[in-house]
Amino acid sequence: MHSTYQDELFHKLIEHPSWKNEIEAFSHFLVNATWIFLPQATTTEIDPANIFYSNRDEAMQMLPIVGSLLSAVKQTKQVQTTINSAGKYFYCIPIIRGDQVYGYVAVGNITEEIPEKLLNLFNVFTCTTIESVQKELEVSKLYETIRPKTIALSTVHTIGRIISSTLELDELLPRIARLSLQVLRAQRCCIMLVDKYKRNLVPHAIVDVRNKNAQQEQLKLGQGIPGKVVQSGNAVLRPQQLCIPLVAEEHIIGTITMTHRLDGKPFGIFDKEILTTLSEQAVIAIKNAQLYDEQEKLTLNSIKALASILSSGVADNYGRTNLFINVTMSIGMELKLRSDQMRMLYYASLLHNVSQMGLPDKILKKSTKLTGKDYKIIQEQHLKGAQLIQPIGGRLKAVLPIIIHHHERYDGHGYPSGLKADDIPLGARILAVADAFEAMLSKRPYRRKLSISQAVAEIVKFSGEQFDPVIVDAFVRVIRRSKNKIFKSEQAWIWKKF
Amino acid sequence: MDLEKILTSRINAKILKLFCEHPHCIDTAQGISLWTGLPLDKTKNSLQKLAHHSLLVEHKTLSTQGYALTQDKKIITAIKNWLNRNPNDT
Repeated sequence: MHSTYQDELFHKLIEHPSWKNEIEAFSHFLVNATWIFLPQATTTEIDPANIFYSNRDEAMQMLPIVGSLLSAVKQTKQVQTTINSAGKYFYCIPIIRGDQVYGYVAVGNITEEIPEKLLNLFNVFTCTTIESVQKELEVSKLYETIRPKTIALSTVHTIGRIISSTLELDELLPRIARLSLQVLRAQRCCIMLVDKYKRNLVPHAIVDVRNKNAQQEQLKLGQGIPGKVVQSGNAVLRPQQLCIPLVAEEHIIGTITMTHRLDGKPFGIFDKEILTTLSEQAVIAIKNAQLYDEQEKLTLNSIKALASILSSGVADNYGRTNLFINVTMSIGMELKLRSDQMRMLYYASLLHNVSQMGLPDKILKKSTKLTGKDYKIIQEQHLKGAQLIQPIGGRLKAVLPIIIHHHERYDGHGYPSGLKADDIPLGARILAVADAFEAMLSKRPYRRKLSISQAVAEIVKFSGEQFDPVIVDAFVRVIRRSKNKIFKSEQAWIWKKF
Repeated sequence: MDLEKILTSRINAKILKLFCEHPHCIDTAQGISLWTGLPLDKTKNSLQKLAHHSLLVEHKTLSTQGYALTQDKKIITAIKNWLNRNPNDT
């Protein structure tokens, strides 16, 4: 470890390739010379352990002479020379640039005096080499200072991107917790949010690397460290616990608490700063997710209201049932659709019978087989019905194709567009199966209702023709697994899952 | 998991050295490639393999894949011991 900058530069200098080349070059002029390099702090009582030399034995012999020259060199900052009794020349040259001395070069056992021009040249090369080394040292220090900060900045940026990639609060909060644990290298992270009555702190995400079943109780405001943090608005930094308030527009919406660093060291100011930065990003993401959640609920309630209004224009036999929704959503889950796809599927399942609005009773209640003319009316009404909701736009824009095309056939012989196979929107292919299944289980004026097994058999029979085989397979698995649960009332999972 | 075998790859060793020096770091393949000076495609492959072997943790979303050092103390110690024994192999 170098105690001073001069010391650091000296040691870097004598190892530098340019310096070594310089010495080698001058050695050609100064044949059989012995070189000694001494750090700036060297006293006249030279310690052999702290010097550098080319030839040890000769260098040790030179030390008394060099010591005698060193004092004058330190005073004058000029080259000093002497001749020993054998007629050999010895020089002590300061390694100097400007007014700053970084060390000394002693060269001895030379048979001839070194010309002044050569000494000047040595000085010039030395200055140039010192300059290069200084720049390298500066760059190295800059690198050591800036690099960790740049990496930290990149970390914050990456975390921001990861956090912003979801608007689902249930997904977002555990993600924030895991990222916080990762960055702070801590054992446990707990994110608590203030409830809507502003009385309690409710845990929303707990991640503990050593205990997968970690729990956290709800706290009253003012209770425990998190409760106190919410009340005071101030972070708490303790050796084994760090708790930061989550602040949104001057309101405290919750806390994020880290416990126990994995390396056993106490949490420090640096950790607090990192977590504060993280929490600021987290708050924005949480507020966005909460707003999105509210908007989704509003949209869903609006759609349900719309579905009710539209259903009032459709005969009971053709109304939406819970069975239809359960089958549709269960198939969607079986196919592992994304949460946004599941949402669209749900909206479509609520609204799909809009296509039956306006159908005349003579067709709806017909007890004999439908004619070609009847089918034409049905197809025309289907499009008209779907167009009723088209002006609403927004979320329903993505739902419309599912509703419009759920009467297509896999083999392309369906309506309204004759789409085939994967050209038919996936949601429409799912709705087709659920719709047919529900219809077969319902009584119609022209036929009796089928049993579950008969209905399933019919669906399977037309797999590949009317229905997508992949959807049919998923449907069969769902029916087999659910037994009779799928016939029960609308399941709460529809809301919670996505 | 054969740590010695994994670390004989210079790319793997260099990436793990970065994470050991900056344990708070979470970054994408592009970031890691920049800090290590390694080619992006090789960095991506290496990061995926190291995550597969649980030496790194992957934080994945649709648009972003961030990597961070494992929090397993034993693995971290083993990596650091290897790096100390082989300082020139990165």
